[in-house]
Amino acid sequence: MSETLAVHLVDDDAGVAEACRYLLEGLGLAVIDWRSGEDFLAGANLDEPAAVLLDMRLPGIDGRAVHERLRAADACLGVIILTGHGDIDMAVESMKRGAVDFLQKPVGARAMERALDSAFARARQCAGDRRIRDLAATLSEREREIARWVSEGLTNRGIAEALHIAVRTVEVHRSRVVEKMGAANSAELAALWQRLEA
Amino acid sequence: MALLGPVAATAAHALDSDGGHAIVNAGDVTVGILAPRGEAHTLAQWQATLDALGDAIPRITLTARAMTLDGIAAAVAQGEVDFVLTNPGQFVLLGTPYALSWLATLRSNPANSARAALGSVLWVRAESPYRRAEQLTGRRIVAVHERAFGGYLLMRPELQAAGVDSDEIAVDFLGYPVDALVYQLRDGQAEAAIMPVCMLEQMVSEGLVRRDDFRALATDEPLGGCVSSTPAYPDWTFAALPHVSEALTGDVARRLLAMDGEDTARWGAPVSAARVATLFDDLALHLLGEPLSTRLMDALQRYWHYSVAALVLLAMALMYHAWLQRKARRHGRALEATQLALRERERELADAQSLNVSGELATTLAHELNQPLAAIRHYAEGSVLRLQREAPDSPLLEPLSRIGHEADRGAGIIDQARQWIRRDAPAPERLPLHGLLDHVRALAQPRLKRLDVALDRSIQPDNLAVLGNRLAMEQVLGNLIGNSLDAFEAADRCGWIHIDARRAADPGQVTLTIRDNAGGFSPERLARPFMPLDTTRAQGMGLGLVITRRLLQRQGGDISVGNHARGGAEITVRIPSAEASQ
Repeated sequence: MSETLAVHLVDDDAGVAEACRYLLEGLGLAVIDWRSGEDFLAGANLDEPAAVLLDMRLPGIDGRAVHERLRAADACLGVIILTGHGDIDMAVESMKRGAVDFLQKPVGARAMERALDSAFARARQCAGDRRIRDLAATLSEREREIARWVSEGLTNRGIAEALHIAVRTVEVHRSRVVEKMGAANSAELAALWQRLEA
Repeated sequence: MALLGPVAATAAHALDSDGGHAIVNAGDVTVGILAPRGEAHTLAQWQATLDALGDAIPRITLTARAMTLDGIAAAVAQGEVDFVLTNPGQFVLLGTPYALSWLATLRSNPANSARAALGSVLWVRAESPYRRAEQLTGRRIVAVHERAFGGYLLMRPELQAAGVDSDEIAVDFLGYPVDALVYQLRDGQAEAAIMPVCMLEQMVSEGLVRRDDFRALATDEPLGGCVSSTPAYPDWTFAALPHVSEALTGDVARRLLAMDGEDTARWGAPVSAARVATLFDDLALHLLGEPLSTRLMDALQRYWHYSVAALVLLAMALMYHAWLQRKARRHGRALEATQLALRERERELADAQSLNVSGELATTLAHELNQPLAAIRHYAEGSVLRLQREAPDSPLLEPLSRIGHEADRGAGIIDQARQWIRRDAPAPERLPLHGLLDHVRALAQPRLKRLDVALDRSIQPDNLAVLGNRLAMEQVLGNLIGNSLDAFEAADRCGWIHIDARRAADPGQVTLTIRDNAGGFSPERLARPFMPLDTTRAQGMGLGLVITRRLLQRQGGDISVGNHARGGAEITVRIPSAEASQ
């Protein structure tokens, strides 16, 4: 899970984008840069978790609209808003729309690093949640029930009694669920399930 | 040591200086000398110089009179002296109005040039805690006179530059001699003293005080071995009054320049006092250095009959004006009120627009400048990161990180300028669209009529209202109708503008659609409708749509532009509705 994620850089100013790439590569990050909102939305793989450095002022569809589309697409991206004019209203608005952070140009390396760390964390969390949801969708109704009891902390015997089935049946189901959810053991399954229900 | 009083004033109705004096060429000649250290000290100091002058020009008998600043000013005004020897500040103040001629500039210290000999020093006691001028706020400071050149006058701009407001410090002006200031400072009656440069050092050399007891808050170049807190100004000037004959003036000037400086003073060619004049302009001093209020009172007393006449005239004019007003009001009060309100609103809109234009320009400029600054900072910090890995003790690390800081500082300056120009938007209010559109139409009426354009509207439902700032909404609609009228004017055709208002699909929003048949936007304009600094109009800055969008976004609305099939522009504005509980 902790391989480094890519950074999408959306800025129409080639000079700034080049400089920003130089800085980010100095931080050891992989950068994909885009010259317009349209290019980014059309070309980027939005299913991959990543961080986005999004300039507010873009020709064509501007930063706000790009941010809006990313939300609509339900992409697992940690979005950082960049602006050359620190507009408080805009900052508040973009945070409300779920931006991770709001940075005013010229951004310092340290602030950039901090914001990117949060953006990566957000993207990973989102991707993790999505994976768990997708896996949970493959469970049968009975398996789902078993998983819920496990997460409540019941033993096999307890579950068997509650569902009026044999302990052996519970054991079989339980190991199937652990396997399907990609968990190492029952304890991990309980943790995954709690995260799903949260 | 008693202070010198001003020269005995003659009666109030004395003749003016140009009225009473014969040309002086011989006989008794009086020299008025500024006496910062008191009479005895001054006369002793200059005696040798005046004796040498008197010996060299046998036809005159020289008398020296030690004087205060006010005394010299009065004596020059009354023509009671023939020559003056004073500081350049006073020379500039008196020189022009009394047509003094400048004979020689003192070279009091051979180590100095005559151009840079005078300054002021801010002295404190050596053991006092003060290190900077601004710490003296609220403490007792002593000085000679508020118009003493080698003293308070020179110090004031320095204090202001150090952030000490002249209102915040209590300066007591004790008058001459300067010695009294030094004693008060030494004995703790004052916390600081403003003194002419070299004065304290001279008292030290005379054995009057100990140098170690004092510390100067010096901020400037030392002057010939003396500390100075101010830039240097020219030395004292020997000048002749206009009633002295040219022959005598020439003789005196020649003799002064010929002095060897053994026991007399040493003199040089007169030095320009342009810097002094500039300083005075900065200080906004008046010709005779009197406060404006005093001069006003003087003028009023002198010309009281004119003043009374003017007042009577003014009163009559006012009465006449009031009568006219009443008559006008009787004629068309309602009409006038409407006109006034309209004009007032028009002016407000124009103000708002121009503020917005400058704000928008500043924003654009800030953004454009921020881009290269951002690039600079990124490159600098990217380089620092690489160097830290590859050559951690490189001497380049320090300057590189400074480049980053400086870029940041530049951005901060831009940001401050931008914030200063921006105004905060007031709270939104409920605006019924009927009233709003009526008002905008009234404002545009003259142009609509001239260009023969019909403006009509439909509002569904009839009582639809939006939530926004009145002035901003008027500006938005005014800009859009104005743009449309510009297009009609450019295309030289008449036609129609239609405004349609209805609830938007999105609850809590109202949609306004504005269509015209003036030809619509060009493809280039449609590609980048909201990019500032390009315009299809010869005049104007292409900011109209940018500002309109900015105003709408600030009110939670938005705008999109396009063309419709029947050959015209179609602009869609969304704005929060006042209906739904928000």
